[in-house]
Amino acid sequence: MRGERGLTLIEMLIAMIILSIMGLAMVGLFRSQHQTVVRQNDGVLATQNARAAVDMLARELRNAGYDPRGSGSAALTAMEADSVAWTADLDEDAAVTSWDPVSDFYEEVAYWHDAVAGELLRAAMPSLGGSAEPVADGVDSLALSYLDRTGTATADSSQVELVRIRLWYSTPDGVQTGAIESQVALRNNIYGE
Amino acid sequence: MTERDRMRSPSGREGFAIVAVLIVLIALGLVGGAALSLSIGDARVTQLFSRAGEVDAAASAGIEHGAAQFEGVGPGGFPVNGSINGYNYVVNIWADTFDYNSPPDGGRTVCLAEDGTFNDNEGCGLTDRIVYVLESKATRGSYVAVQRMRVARLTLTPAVPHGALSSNSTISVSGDLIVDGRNHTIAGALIDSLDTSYTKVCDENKPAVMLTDLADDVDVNNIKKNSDPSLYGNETFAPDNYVAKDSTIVYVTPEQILGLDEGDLDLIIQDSDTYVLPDSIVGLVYVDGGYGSKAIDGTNKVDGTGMLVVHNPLYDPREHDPSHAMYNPSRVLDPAYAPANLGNINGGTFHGIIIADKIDKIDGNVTVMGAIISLSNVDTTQIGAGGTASILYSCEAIQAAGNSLLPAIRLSWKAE
Repeated sequence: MRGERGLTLIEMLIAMIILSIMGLAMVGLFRSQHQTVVRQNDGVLATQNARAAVDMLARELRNAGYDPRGSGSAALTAMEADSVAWTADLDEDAAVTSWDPVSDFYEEVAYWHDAVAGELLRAAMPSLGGSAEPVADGVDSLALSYLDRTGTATADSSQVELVRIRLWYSTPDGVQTGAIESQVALRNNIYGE
Repeated sequence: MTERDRMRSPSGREGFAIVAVLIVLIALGLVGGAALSLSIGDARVTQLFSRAGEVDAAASAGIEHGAAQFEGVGPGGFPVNGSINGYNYVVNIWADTFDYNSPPDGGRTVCLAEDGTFNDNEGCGLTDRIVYVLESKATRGSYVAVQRMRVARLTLTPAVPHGALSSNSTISVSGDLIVDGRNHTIAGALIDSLDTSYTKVCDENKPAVMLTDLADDVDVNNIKKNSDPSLYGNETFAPDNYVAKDSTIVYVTPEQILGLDEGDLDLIIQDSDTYVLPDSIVGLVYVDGGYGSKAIDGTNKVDGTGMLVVHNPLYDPREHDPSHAMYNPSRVLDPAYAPANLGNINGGTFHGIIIADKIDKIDGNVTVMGAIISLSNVDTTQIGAGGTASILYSCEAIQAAGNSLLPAIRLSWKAE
């Protein structure tokens, strides 16, 4: 019959203390797991952003110098370690002044790294007032190499056949870092020789 | 409390353990769900990148396939279809057009001139290249990639040979030899035996033997048929329908015959002393006869499609013709200016044009589909067949040879 009396106050207190300890442990576990998930998420996002940015730069850059009309106006126009700009006669009208924002079609493009903001920036038609827009944040640095046919660095834009892109990135908390590398063959320079 | 309740929950405290287990399970489920969601999202992004890259690679493969097709047979044979790793591509081609003029005049076919400039002002000259656009479109489901590349190639338009066998001097033919001026397909099938139009276009029947303005009138009557070779030609040239002389035809150098400027072929001249005939000739082969010596002599088979030239670049048949204004006796006596000699074709099937200063012999079972032109205007060109030989005029073979001469040039490329 004693077992049917219910719990004593002490038993209740002990149970509550045990539950509190378990609860605190669970909260700690939750926080730890949440932080892990957030960090993993940040890391994945940072990697994806960096990869998307490099891929976007590479895909656009490979059209550099497209000059089907022989106008001579399409070329690499800026070659710095942390910036690159080029023109391409994409609509094949013998000029590089056209653009179409709807189809994301621009004949003059520039990319550069803003070290202060930690961003990779892109400007379409900058000579016509096109403003800079961030492509990716969390970019620690950008290193561009311009190589000729022999794989030697060159400053002659007409001799560039390969552009090597290296982009270093980090998560917002700076804990995780990584690098993405890609190489772009400039076929319009290769075919032109 | 009933007896059943007592059995199910004798103390009434076991519920805590169940709640705790459920809480832990829910927490782990949430963590697992979040991780799974992240993984699925990451996998989708990865697949997006992967598919985008793969469809782009398929479009590149299509461009390369199209370029190879263009280099092999020219702009014919398109569209080119293919598939790689589940991605299908189709490659189309068209001659590029643009209006370079100011004021605009509607535009014409774009040509690439020898100096590397483009123009449509005067059409494509003999040495200009027509610019073609290759466009490759690769697809897989909703993934699409389009790439475009411009290509050009020099397609020679040789002077139309006006006979299966043309010569600046008389010809002696002998042996089991068929010389047929009627137009054949590239496979050797006679197209129209009754065609007597002879308007000097490529695609029509010709005489078997044509003598040019550098040949003497007497040469016409000196066509020698030893061992009764068979000669077939256009009936217009009756009664000896197989032979004709046309003073408007002038053959001087290979460049002139091929519609090029003198010296254009200098870079591809090969020394007969070191030249080794390949298993199959493709394109233009130019062998210097070595100051009157023989080239391609012995037991060489001549197979392939293209143009075979055996010529001494110093030899000008007009300088050796006493009746010509350019006659130069000192050159006639100087062996350095002697005609080159195609020593012997010994077997093989050749499609195209053979141009030689002199031809000594055709031996073995030889088939030439296209035409032979002999430039020497003094010595009798003797073509003796030691086996069973056929020289069949074929406009189709000549055009195929013209299309196979020089490699394509890649001009520009873009991905859309």
